[in-house]
Amino acid sequence: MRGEGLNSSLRTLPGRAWRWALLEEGSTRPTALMRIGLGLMLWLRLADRFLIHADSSPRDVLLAVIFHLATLGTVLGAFTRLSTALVALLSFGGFAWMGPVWGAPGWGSHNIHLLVCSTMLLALCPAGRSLSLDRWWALKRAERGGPPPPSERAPLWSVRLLGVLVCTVYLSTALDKTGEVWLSGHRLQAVIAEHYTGSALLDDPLYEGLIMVAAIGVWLLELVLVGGLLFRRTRLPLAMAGVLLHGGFSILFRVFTFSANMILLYLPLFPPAQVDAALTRLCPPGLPAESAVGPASVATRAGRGLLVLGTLVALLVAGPRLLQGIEATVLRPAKADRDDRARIEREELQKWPR
Amino acid sequence: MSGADLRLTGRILVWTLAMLFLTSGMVVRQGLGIQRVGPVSLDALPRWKMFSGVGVGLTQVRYWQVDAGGEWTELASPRWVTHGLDQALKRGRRLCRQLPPGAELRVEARTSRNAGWRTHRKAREEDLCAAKG
Repeated sequence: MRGEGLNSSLRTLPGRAWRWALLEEGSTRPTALMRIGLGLMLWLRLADRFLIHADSSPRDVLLAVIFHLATLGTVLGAFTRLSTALVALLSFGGFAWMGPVWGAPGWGSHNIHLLVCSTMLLALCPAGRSLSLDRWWALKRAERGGPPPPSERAPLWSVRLLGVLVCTVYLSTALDKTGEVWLSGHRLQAVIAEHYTGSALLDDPLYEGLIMVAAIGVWLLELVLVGGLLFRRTRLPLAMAGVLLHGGFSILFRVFTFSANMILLYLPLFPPAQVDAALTRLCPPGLPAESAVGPASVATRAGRGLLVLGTLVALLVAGPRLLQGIEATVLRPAKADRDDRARIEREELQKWPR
Repeated sequence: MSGADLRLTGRILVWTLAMLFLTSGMVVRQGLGIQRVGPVSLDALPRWKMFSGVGVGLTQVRYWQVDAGGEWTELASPRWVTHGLDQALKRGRRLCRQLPPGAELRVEARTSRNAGWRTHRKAREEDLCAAKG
């Protein structure tokens, strides 16, 4: 029968892929976490391109107002569909038009490209059903006798596209690195030389060997991440390896929001029920037992939810700042040494001949 | 067509367009190397090429003095010249003033590019001190 045929075909790998991509439903809470994270990243990365100055044109003022209202709506989940759509339109417009055609600077980098693609796909997602002002208002309306709030369970077809974005990024970078230039370690040598070593170590065979091993390791990991994040058994260990990889890039090089963006996009690859279970474990339902000696705890579920939300927001905001602080206090003195070394080398060259 | 079928068709259409957009950059820009179609730039098609502007243009230079017997001795010197080969050659020619008359000075240089190190072979063959004559 047709139903049995459909059931059996869905059990095959193509069938499971079809169901995963187009048919499954699940919790909207992980999507909401992504919405908040991407909204904060948009502030970090693009807000300086939408500022109002004394000599701003009416067009620039309008774009700035729309950008800041829309990103605020994205972070808080207010009029979410409209906010995410406006943000997607503005960011794609900036990338495809303002930069190349108007000559506005700073739109061409790959970390902005990833952010633009992420926001465009986010606009397709049901990102306002959870952890949002839209949900708060819907709950209030329901309490006053209005219609029930929308379910926190929605089709995931659009959310899966964000996961596919991660896989295509890894595929693109792995293909780019497939070749003698990267796999020999030469490109990585030059990158590290510019940031850290200068001309020292470039001809050291041991150093060359180590860099080559590191370059091949990065390439292999990116290749494996292309498909490995899609399967249950390999997802968690590979996600942890990916977090270490991107964390390393974030600390060692100027990658702006790219690393944080990629780590955030791991969320849609995990089953929403698994993410929900982790959140519930961290924040179990029901009132906490009162302690005889401790201070009064946050007594309501809404209060606990706000506490979790606030902690996540603080981490997302503080995380980049913390990394910048580490760079300023620990790595920048070392970078200053490297800059001095390069400067000394140039000055020595200028000394001869007298 | 029922509502469910319409929704499924819409999802398939959006998925197809999204996949085309996400993979087009890889195929056209990375694979085929096409960056423009006539006056239209293809920069909006996604392609992720890491560190493309980093560690580029660094020139590593080594100066060698060649004696009458053809023996090469590397001059103790810092090896970086960050402004490219021309700077290295200019400095080398000025260095010749400090060397004894008749001395030969050769330069080995390589410049980092996205496509890897580029060794400047012709520079090695040129005696920088011969030009001062």
